[in-house]
Amino acid sequence: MATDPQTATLDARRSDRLLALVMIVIATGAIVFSRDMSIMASVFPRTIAVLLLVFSVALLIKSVVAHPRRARPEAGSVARRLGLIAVMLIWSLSLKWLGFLVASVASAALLAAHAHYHAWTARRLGGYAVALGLIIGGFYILFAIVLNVPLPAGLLWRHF
Amino acid sequence: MRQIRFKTLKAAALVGGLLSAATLAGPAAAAGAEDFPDHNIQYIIPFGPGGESDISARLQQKYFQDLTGQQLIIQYMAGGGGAVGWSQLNEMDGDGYTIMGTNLPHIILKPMGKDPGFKTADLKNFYYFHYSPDALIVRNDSPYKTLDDLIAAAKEKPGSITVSGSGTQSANDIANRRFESLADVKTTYIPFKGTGAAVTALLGGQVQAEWGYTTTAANHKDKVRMLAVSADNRHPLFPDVPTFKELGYDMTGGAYRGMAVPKDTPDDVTQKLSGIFQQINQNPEFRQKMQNLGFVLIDVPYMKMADFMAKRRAEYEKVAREMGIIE
Amino acid sequence: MDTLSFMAAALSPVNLMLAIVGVAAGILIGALPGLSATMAVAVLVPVTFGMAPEAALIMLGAIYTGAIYGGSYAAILVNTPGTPSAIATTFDGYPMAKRGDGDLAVTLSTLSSMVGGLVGALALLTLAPLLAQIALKFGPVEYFWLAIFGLTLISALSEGSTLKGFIGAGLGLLLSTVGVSVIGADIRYAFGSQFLLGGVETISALIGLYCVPVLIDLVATPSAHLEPPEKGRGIRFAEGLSLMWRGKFNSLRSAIIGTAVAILPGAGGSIASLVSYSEARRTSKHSENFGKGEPDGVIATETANNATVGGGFIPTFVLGIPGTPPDAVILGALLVQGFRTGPEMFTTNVGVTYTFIGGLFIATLLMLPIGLLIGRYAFKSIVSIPKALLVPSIAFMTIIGTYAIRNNPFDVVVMVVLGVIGWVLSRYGVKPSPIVLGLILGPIAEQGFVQGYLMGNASGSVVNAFFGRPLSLAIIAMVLLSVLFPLWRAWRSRTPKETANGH
Repeated sequence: MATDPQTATLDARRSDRLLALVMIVIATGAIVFSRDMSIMASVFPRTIAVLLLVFSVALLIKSVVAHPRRARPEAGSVARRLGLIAVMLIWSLSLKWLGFLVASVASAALLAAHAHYHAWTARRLGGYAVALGLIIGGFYILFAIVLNVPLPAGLLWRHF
Repeated sequence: MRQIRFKTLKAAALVGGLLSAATLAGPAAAAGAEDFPDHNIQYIIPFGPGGESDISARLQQKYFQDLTGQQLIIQYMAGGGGAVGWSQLNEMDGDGYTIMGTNLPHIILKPMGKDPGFKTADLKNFYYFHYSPDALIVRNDSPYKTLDDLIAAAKEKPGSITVSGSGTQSANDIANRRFESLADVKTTYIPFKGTGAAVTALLGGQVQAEWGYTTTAANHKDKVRMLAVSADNRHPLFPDVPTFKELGYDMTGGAYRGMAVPKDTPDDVTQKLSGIFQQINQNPEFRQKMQNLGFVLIDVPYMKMADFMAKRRAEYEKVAREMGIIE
Repeated sequence: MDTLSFMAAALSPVNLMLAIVGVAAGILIGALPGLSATMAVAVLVPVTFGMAPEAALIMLGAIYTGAIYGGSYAAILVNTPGTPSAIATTFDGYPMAKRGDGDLAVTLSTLSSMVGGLVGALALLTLAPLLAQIALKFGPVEYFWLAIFGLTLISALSEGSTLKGFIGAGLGLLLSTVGVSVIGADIRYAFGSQFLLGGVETISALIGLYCVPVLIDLVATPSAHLEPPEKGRGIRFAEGLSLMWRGKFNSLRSAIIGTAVAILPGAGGSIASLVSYSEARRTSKHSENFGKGEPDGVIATETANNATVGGGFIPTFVLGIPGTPPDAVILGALLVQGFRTGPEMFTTNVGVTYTFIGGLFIATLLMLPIGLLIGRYAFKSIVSIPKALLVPSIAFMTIIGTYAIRNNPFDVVVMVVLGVIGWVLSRYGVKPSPIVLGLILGPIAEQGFVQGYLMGNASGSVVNAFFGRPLSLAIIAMVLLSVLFPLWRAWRSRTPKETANGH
C-alpha cells in the first residue's frame, strides 16, 4: 500500500512494439481474408482494418521515438494465473464431450484447490466440498430444471 | 449467520435432489412409439425470441399440451440466420424429444453458397405447418395506390425505388428478385437486420416500399397497405388485396416454417410427431389465431415431405441461379 | 381520471403479488452473468399464457425491470455486467466495492434504478405517441452517425493511452463482423468453422472480457477479493440518499438520455448507459475520479439503464416495433394473447395499457425495498465467502451463464479465449471497454453506412444522404462537440489558472 500506483510504472517500449506488431498482423490478415467477400460485405471490415493498421503503425513509431510507460501489472503468482487459464480452457472445451455436470464438478474442484492459500484440514476439505456441491447443485437445478436449459449431457457417455 | 445460510441451502438441495432424480429417471423409462411422448419435448428455435418462428411456435405450445399432456419447451439457439442450430441438430439425441424449427427458403438456399455446416438433405423435416406469404407493402400515404403505379414509377427511373426487407438472400430478397424479373423492373433492395427493422424503415419513410409478409401488414394494419400478396388465394384478413397471380405475375411463396428431428430419430416416433402437429393444425381455435396474425396454414406431413421439398428446391434453384448464388 | 382508475387496478392483491414475485425473480436472474433480461422474460412467457392480459403484462414488466436492475450486482461485486446494460456500472461500481464501499454502491444503484425507472415509466405514460414519431425519423444514416458518436466515447473510456483505446475499438469492430453478414450474406472470417458462423455473441464477450481477468488476478494472491466493510454498518441508506440528492441533475440527465436512446429501436440499454456515463464524466467537477470509484458514475449508468425499460415500451406499444430485445419477447407474448399493439393500445385497449403502466410504476417502487434486501445479502455473501469457494463459484457462473445465452457450448470457448486475450491486452494497456464498445457499435455502424449508401445511390446523391438531413447534421454536431470539447478543455487546463481544490 506504500507505493502510489501512479508512479509504479514500467518501461513499455518493448511491450508496445509487440502489441503494435500483433495488431499489424491482425489488420493485415483481416484485409487479406476479405478478398473473396462481396463489395457490400467487405467495405466495412476493410475500412476498419486499414484504420487499425494506421493506429498500430502509429503506436510502433511512438514506441521507437518516445519512452512510453505502462502501469505495473498486479503482483502475484504467475503459475496460479496460468493454472486458472488452463483449467478454464479445458473446462470450456470438455463441456460438449464430458457433459456439463462432470466437466463442471471436476473443474470447480480443481479451481478450489488452486485458489486455496492455507493448509487443508479434513474439516475444511469436507466443508468446502459440501458447500461447492451445494452451489453447483443449486445452479444446476436452476438452469436445467427451472429454466429448462438443455445442458450438454456429454457425447462420450452417449454410447453407454 | 453462515450457519443459517447453510441450513436453507441444505433444504433447497434436498428438494432439488428429489426433483432431479425424478427428471433423470424420465428419459430412461422412454419406450416405443405407443406411449410417446411420456415427458416434455424440447423445441429449439434457431433464431432469437420474438420473431415469427417464435410466435408461431408459442401458439403450438398450448395445443400440444392439450393433446399430449406433455409440455413443448421452447429454446433458442440463434446465430448465423439459423445455421448455428441446424448444423448441430444431428448431434442431438435422436429420441424424438428434441425437435427444431426449420425454415424455407433458408435451409435450401444457405447450403447453395458457402458451406454453412449443414446440408439440406441432412435435415429430417417431419412436418411443415404454415407459411407467411410475401407481400409488397407501402405506407398508407404512399403515392403508389396499386402495384401498377409502383411498376410504372420503377420503369420510369430504374433503381430509384428503394425497397427494404430482411438480410440478403432472405425470403424477402428472393421475392424481390422474382418480382423484378417477372415485372421487368429494377429496384434498389436495402437489406435490414430482420423484418422488424425493415418495417421500421418503411414506417419512417426511409424507403418507398417494403417486402414483408401478410403478417407484417396484419401487425401494422393502421399504417400500411399491401399492393399485392404472393399467395394462391386472397388472404381472409385482407379480402381487398389482390394476389400477384390475379395481376398477372406468377408468384406464390413466402417464408415456410416446419420442424425437423435429428437424423437418427426412429421413423415410428417421427411419424407420431408428424401426426401430433397435424392434429394441432386442425384445431379450429389454433387456425383462427394463426389466421388473425396473417399466417396461411399448410399441411405437409412426414410422408409428403420429400415431394414438397423437391418442389421448393426446384423453385429456389431457379432464383438462386438468377441471383448468382450458384452458377 | 380514467387513467388513474385504470392504473389503480394494478394495485389489486393478485397484481401486486405478481409484481413482487416478478421483481424478485428478475433481480436474481439479472444478477447472474449471462442470464439477461431477454432470457428472464422469455422463460416467463409460457407461464403468462394462462393469465389475464393485464396480469401477464404486469409480471413481464416487473421481471424486466428487476433484471435490468439486478445486472448491477454482478457489475459491482465481481466486475461482470450481468446484462449488457450494466457495462458502464463496472467502471466505478467495482472500484467502489474493491475499496470496501460495495454496500454504498449497491444502495446507490438501487436508488438510481428507481429514479430512472420512474422517469421512463412517466415518459411512457405521458409522451408515448409523440416520442414514437420522433423515433421513426431515425433512418440508417442517423443510426450510422449515432454509432460514430458512440465511438467518440473511446477517448473517455480508455484509461491512459487514447491510441490504444482506438486499437481496442478497432479490434472490437473487426470482431463484430465475424459470421454471416446481414448485407451480402457473406460468411466473414469464419475460417471454415461452423461455430464461428453465428459470430461473437456480445454477452459472452462481455463476460469473458470483464470477468475472466478478475478471476485470473483473484487466484494470483491470497488477499481478499473485496475490502470487507466496517462492522455493524447498515446499508448506508442515508449516505446514499444524500449522494443522490447531490447528483440529482446527473441522475435526471441520465434518465432523459436513457429514455431517449431506448426509444430508438436497436440502440438499447448498453448504449444509453455508456452515453450517460460519459456525459456525467464530461460535466462533473471531479471527472478525474471517474473510473476509480466515483459514486456519480454508478448513479449515471444505473439511472439510464432503468429508464430504458419505460422508454423501450414506447415504440413497442405505439408502433408495434420492439425498442429493446426483451420488448421483442413481450411483443411476441402480446401477439400470442391475441392482442394488437399500435394506437389501439391507447384507445380501445386503454384499460390494459394503463394498468400495465401502473404496474410498471409499482414494480419500480417495489425495487427499492426488495433490491436493498437482496443487495445487502449479495454483498455480504460475496465478501464473506472464502476465496477457494469464490473462484470456482464465479467461474461456474460464467460458464453456465455463457452457455445458456444461445445453448451453444462453443460460445463458452469463445468467452474463455476472449477473456484470456483481454487479460493479456489489458496488461499491455488495451482495456476491455473500447473493445466491447466496438463490438456493440460495429453492426449499427456497418449496416447504417451500407444502407445509407445504397439509399443515397438510389436517390442520386450519397453526400446528400449522409450530410443533407437536419437530424443527421444535429448528430454530427454532437460528434464534433464530443471530440473537440476534451481538446478545448486540455488546452484550457494548460493555461496557468488551475481549477481549485479537488480532493
